[in-house]
Amino acid sequence: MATATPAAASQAAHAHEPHDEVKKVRMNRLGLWLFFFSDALVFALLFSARFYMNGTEVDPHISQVLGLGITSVLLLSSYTAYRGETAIHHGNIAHGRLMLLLTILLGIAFFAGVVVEWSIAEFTISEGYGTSFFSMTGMHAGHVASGVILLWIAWRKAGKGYYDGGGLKAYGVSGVVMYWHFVDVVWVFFYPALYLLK
Amino acid sequence: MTRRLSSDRSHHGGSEVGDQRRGLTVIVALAVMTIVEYIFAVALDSPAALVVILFAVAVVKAWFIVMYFMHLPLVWQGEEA
Repeated sequence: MATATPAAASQAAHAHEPHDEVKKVRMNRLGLWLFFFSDALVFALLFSARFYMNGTEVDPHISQVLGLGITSVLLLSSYTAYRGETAIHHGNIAHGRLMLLLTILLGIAFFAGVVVEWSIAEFTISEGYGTSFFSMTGMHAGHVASGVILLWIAWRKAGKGYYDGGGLKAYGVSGVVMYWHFVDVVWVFFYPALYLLK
Repeated sequence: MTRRLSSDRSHHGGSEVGDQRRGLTVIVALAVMTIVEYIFAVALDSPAALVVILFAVAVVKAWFIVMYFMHLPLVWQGEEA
């Protein structure tokens, strides 16, 4: 009866590695989507509470220019995040890092815009619209802040060579960038609800 | 445009240039829809009509982001090795 040599056993183990890696990434991706689903429920509750409390009314003093400005910044950041992810996936680490850095700066600009919006608001948190506005933008800005931190971690890890070679190795970047896009999707619904309705 | 995008693989399936071009197409579509939202909000006086139009546009925008930026189809299609 032949027994497997250590070399043969190692060879057999390595033969399964690509498949295991694909399976792991697939499970990670599914888990991330389940997280998005559960997090989306929190935002959906805030969204529905806004209409329950205020109907479709929007405070007439809200700054439309600032609203459109921060929306454009967040939309643009989704594009730079996509470019960064794509570049790193294809092994173009330098360009990917540049795009991630740009995304971080745009995220900070969005956050600063929300802070300005809060400071010039002519309504308070004790008013109906104010309660909706501050809770929705506050929860969203918290996600933006955590997204910026995650993007910074990915940017640093890319600089240290964690994603060299791209492909499945770069899933870490994909996960962070997907989270960033999720934050953008939330704003796609919050922007008309908070600024554009009458 | 949607048909052409749908025929492609949704996640880094081609060259880097091709993938970047797809991203540019999506962001231009999102920017145009955001401008359309703003114009409707300024021009329309009916709150009911505005709710329907703005959220219909928002659903389309979200679909673009989820399908092309977040690669939702990979959940059931699987990863390329």
